Amino acid sequence: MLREYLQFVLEVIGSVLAGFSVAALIMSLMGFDPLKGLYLITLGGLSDPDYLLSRSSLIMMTGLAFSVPALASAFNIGGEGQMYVGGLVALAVSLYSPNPLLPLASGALAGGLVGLVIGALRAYREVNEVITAIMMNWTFYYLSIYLITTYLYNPLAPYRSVSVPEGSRLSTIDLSGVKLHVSFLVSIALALVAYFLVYHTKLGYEIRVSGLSRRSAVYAGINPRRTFTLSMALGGVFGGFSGALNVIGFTYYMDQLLTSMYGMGFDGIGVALMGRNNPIGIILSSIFFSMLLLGGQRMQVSMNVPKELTDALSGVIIISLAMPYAYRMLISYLRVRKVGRGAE
Amino acid sequence: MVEVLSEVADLIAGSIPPMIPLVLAGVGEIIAERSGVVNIGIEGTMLLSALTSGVTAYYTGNLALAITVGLVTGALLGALHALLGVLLRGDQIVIGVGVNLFAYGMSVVTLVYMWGTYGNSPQLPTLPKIYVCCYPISTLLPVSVAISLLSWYVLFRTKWGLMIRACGEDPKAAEAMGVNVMRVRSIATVVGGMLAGLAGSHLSLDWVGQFTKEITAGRGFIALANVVFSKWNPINALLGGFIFGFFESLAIYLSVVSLNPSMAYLFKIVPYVATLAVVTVFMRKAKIPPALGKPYIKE
Amino acid sequence: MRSGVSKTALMGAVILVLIIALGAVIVSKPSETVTMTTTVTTTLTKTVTKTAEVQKTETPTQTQAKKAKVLVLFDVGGRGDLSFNDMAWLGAERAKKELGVEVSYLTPKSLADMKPTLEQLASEGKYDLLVLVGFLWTSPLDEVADKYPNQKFALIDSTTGKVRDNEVDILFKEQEVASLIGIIAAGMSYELGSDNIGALVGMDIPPLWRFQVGYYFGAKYFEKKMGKPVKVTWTITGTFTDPAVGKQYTEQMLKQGVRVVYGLAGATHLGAFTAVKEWEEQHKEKAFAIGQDASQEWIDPMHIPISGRKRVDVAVYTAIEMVIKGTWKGGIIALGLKEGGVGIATLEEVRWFAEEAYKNGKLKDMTPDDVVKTVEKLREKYIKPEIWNLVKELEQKIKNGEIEFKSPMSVQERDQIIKEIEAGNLDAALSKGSTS
Repeated sequence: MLREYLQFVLEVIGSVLAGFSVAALIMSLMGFDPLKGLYLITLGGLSDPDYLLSRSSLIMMTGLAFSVPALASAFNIGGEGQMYVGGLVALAVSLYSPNPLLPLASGALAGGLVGLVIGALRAYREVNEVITAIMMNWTFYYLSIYLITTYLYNPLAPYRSVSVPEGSRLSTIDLSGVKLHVSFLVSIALALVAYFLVYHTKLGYEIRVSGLSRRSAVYAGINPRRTFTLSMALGGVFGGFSGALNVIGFTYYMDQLLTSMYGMGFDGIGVALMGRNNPIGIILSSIFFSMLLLGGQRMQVSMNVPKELTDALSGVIIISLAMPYAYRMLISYLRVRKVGRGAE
Repeated sequence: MVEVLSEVADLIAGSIPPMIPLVLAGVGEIIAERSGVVNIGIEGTMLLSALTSGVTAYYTGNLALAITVGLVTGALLGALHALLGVLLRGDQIVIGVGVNLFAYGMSVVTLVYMWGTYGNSPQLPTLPKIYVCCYPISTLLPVSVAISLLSWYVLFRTKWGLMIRACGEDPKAAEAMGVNVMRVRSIATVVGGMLAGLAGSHLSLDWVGQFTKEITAGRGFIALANVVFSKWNPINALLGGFIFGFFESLAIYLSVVSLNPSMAYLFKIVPYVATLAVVTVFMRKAKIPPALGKPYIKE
Repeated sequence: MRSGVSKTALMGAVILVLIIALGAVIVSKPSETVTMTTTVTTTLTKTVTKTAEVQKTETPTQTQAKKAKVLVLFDVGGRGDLSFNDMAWLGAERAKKELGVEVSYLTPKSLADMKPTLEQLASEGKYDLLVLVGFLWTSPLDEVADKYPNQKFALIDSTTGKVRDNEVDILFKEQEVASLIGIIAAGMSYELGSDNIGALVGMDIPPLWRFQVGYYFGAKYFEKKMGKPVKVTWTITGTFTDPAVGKQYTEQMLKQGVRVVYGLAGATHLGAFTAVKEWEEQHKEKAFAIGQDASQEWIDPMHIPISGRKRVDVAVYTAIEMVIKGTWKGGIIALGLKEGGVGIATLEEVRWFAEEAYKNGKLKDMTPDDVVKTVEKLREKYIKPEIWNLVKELEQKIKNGEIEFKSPMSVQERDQIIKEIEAGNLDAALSKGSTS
């Protein structure tokens, strides 16, 4: 068990190193100082831990939105749409509720409902979840923008929605001098719940079994349709949480261009897979992903690197993280060569 | 009556440009997925090919060369995906996510180095149009129809197709049959990349006549949806591309004719909801290649 | 397999130690030394590092004597939107050349990153001025500005609605330029045999509501003065970054009889330029597009006779100038026709942008001279003197302050105003003065 974890960590480090070398190469080709660049893109984000952690909470949730269904071998590319819905519903409910709990819960439920529909369509009507989810992403994108522009706008600043009332906000708490967003604590708690749910409950067991093999699931008396639907609904719940946390705990409003959320659902796919679909791994990978993101911003300011170059570098590092086997294969290749040489 | 007919003809003509990239990239992805490789990096592939073919067209004026460069770019990105995702068994989805980010960043950086701008290329020479009953039709329409028919034939009527499908169904059995799974998957991925590259060239050289950053605007993902819609069958991909293109064209028509700007966002939803409805009502069981996205590990 | 795993672990452990060591070195030593140790160093990065070093040790008062530092913060679109972000950068570059300031820029990843980033930058206090481009910055600034009274902010294209000593808000009166463009579009459209003018719009946002009010006003002003009816097709595409759908929308407008399309959609309206070009090739019928923000005539001078200008560059330059020349005064500034903040692209401006494009290798088979001549000819042929007179008349009224436009604060208010204008009540668009 320990060795497995150790190996996992080593693989990650190996691939990060590979990614860094390619990124450094690109930077020096472009005439930027590669060491300073790498330093900034990775550790530059650490200068504001509260921002880093609270930012990571958003993609941690979309990461879970992808990974829980993924364990049941469902491809939830709809985290984006579930997040919009979650945010919008949380915002609307917060206007009538004096505490943050109800908006959070209703946002999550709304997201879950979207996930449920996508899952049920697949499980009971054989409509593939990839189509439904992609179409729903765009539908909810324009629908949210329409609703914000037409109904939920702020009369004093019409480019954005009304604000979440003070009473419904999650803000920062002071832990003996260290500021921390409550939304980060909430998301950590949710990730732990996800871990418990997946690895220590009957439902989680059913999800994992039917993900591994539908046939054995049936033999084990599991209803794969029901499991599939529930896993998508759970994914939707986390997608909804991402949107709700964004609105209730981070920006406190949504804008007419939906830029406060756009793209975070897709980021979640990368986060989930980097964390090997394990909720604990996702906590780490979402923080790492946010480090890249914040570091990229630091890099723009300090080195006059265009944002797009930092995007490309993050892309390289993400690709390298997909490569655990490459590292393993390299080792075994070296070993084989060594053995071969010994035989000569 | 004549008026209505001409409006419908307009709508159909209008649905062709959006249809082509969905069909080309979709068929490419079908070939890759049939062999068991999922490549969600087609969005990024389209983007980079749109750029490279645009640059070539601008500086040489040679459209055939430009298309070739677009194809080569697609093939290279496909080869990268094959190298990382097939031979080195990296997670194919993560690679795709990374490629999309990388392609977006690099395309803009290249724009800056070529033309000192962050947004768009100059106007580019475009492919000639074919006139069908006085409607200008893209040259790439017959090309993409031919490609889908050919792909269908190859996939379902030839030995190669059998090999490709075997790799996606059961790679171990395929290996036992004497198929080199790694090689077949790599080739299929490269071909898929090439077709996505052609789709990208269509965007910059045929449809828009210019390259802009984010010119793909999510079409790579719609193409992924088209793959599923078509049930991994290239001929159905033609239909899927057309249906989506038609609804998009219809939404634009409604939006312009309604003269009601407040409703614009609701019209934007039309193609997505309509596609959802079509899919829910008509779609029945699609069989996913069982080994899709799973790395093949030789014992 | 056993030995394999332990070897893996061993090798990994070595790598881990290396990384930690490297990290420790990088973190402990000042970045100057790090720069020195690398072989690939450009002079550019060196100077950047050095100034960063200096900045750390000095107090803010001492930096005043040094080169002033300005950071331009774009909204999420970033540079390359062919609209206000690109224009803003133009202003910053001019300030760099003419005022000798040091300029860098930042594009945050999303709106969620705006407030924390702004807060971080303001608390570090490294910059003499933070220029915030785009209305998405309004709320983040509003929440941060009071906490950092020593940090100067300039908000471009929006206002927090509050007057602060450390904040300058620069707004544009888009209605004014759009109304002139409306008249010209209507005039050109009649020359092309159509009474239908169009606009290709990005998203339904407040700055575009102001454009809309102006454009409809101009069209109906033409109708009223010339006695010729004008229909406006205002088409919202829902995106600023998709020229492909921009082309589709424009083609549909052209089929509905529109012959002049005003591009108000950033990169999306590049598709409109292609559409009008192809329309002429396919239908042997001329159609025109009108650019916005930058002078865009050079992109296709045969089909883009005119552009509306929104001088975001002037706004950015003005804000920087206020810091350098010590004329800083917090408050809200609205730039209209009178202040030169908006206007119609003059031939000199057309030439300047064509020359820039020429320098970057974007003008093919054409010189800037050709562009200017083509545009001049087109304008002579399709914008008749009586149209120019009408434009001048309205421009004068606006510059004199005889009339002022309303700025809609909601979709509903916008709809109401447009409805009234369409019914012929031009004064509905005005908050001051009257057309009658």
